[in-house]
Amino acid sequence: MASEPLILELRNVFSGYGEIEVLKDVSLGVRKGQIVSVIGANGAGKSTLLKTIFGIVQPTAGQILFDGKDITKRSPLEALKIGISYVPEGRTNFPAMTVQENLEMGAFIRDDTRAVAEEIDALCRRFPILQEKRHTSVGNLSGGQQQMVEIAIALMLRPKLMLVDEPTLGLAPILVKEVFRIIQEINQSGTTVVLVEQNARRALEISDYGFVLELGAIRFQGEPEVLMHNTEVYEAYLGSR
Amino acid sequence: MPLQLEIFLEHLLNGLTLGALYALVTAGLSLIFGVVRLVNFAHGDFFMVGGYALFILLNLPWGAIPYPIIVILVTLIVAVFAMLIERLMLQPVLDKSWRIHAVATLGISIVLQNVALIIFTTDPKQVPTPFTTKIVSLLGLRLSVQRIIILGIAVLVFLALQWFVKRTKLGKAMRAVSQNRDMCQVVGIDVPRIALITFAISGGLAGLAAALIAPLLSVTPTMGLSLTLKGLAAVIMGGLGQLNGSIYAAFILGLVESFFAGYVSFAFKDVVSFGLFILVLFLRPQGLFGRRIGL
Repeated sequence: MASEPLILELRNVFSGYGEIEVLKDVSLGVRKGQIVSVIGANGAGKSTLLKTIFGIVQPTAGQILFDGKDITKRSPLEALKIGISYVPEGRTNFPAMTVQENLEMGAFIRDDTRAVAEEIDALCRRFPILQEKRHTSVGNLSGGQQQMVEIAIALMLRPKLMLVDEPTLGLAPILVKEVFRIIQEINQSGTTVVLVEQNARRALEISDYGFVLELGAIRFQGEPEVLMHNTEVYEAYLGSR
Repeated sequence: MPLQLEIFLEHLLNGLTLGALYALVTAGLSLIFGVVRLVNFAHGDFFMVGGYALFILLNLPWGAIPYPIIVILVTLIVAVFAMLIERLMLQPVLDKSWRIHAVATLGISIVLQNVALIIFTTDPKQVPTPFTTKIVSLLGLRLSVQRIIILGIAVLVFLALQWFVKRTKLGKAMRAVSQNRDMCQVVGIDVPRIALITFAISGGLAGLAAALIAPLLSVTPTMGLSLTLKGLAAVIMGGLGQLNGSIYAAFILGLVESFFAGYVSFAFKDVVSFGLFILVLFLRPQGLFGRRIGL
């Protein structure tokens, strides 16, 4: 696995909002086919990291490479077109639209209507809950079901790389398990996943590699076992419970 | 047919025509508010612009164009006009607060009215069409062909609008923008483009209303103001951002006004419609058909 090429690489990236610098000299690499977790405290810059990769926030310095190509200055639309999808934190769907319509919106930039329809059928077969609620407004679904829809929206463009921000926030433990299982399944079908999680232990359990972000900089990185056995990481992020 | 019934049916038809006028204006206001979250105080003036476009097209020096083509032209002219207003003046402030929106659209309204005043003076312009004075008899009722055309087209347009918003990709994108603008960026929906299209549709509806209904009125530079107010009343009565609710509310306003003017007092008809509006605000502040915000 470690010999797989890098699908995503950040070189000395600085990023933030106006005067406020959040990411400070972040360098990291993500190998093709892996699940990579980014863990860290609130305000460490985890979400900003994903937004910077996706292009919602533009880096002020440094370089971002995707599949070996420089994508440092790109809009979210361009990121979508080259195969990067983003599942933001919180309830990020179209609540008064049905599951079906939400998935259609996920494929908004695609023009092949028929293939999209088939893909929605396929997704509904793969995740029965989507089929069951297909014509229900997403706003009427439970939190866990909405999270499923949001992940499915991101799958509509068949991304090479999926950025997932806090997918289990506020979910009941049984649903947390389910969401992680689905992320694993998506990864097994070929999508590289960058996962930002508060639930560090569970995230590392399904990951191939992990980064610990502290005050906008990478503090530790390594395989999950290495991180779990690092005393400092353990005490700061994994110790409780 | 008894006279009583005949008068009743006449008021009904007048009310439905008036309702169609309010509904076409209201639908545009409601779409813009729903999608872009902007209250367009210049919306009635789009109707006024359409009225003068109709006046010019009916009085071309080289002879008249057939009325159906004029209707299409006026619709397109006002649609393009609304797009220009959006791109040049409103797009830069779309992300700002409602106060800036209010000042910007009120400013546009004042400028449009005064430009119209300079060009066309205060003299009301009559814009009769070949159908305005044509009457058909149906089951003993004498009906103005213009009013039948208005009602028929209005119903078709609302069905088409319904289909567009519910079924087409663009219509769904408009609903998406209205429900979660941040998420649109995540799936690649171009929000400024959708906003522009929304203005085009809204302007087109106002233009269509002008081409159909101005012939029953007369065109003046300030005619837009009362339409904006009635339209806003219907938008709020119907439930903010509820396209269908606002259309129903517009027809209710039209009917109430027509019956009140016919049976009680013409002079006080506006008191009744705005009184009804205030009553709805008291009893159902979320609107008659309101649930949550979003198309």
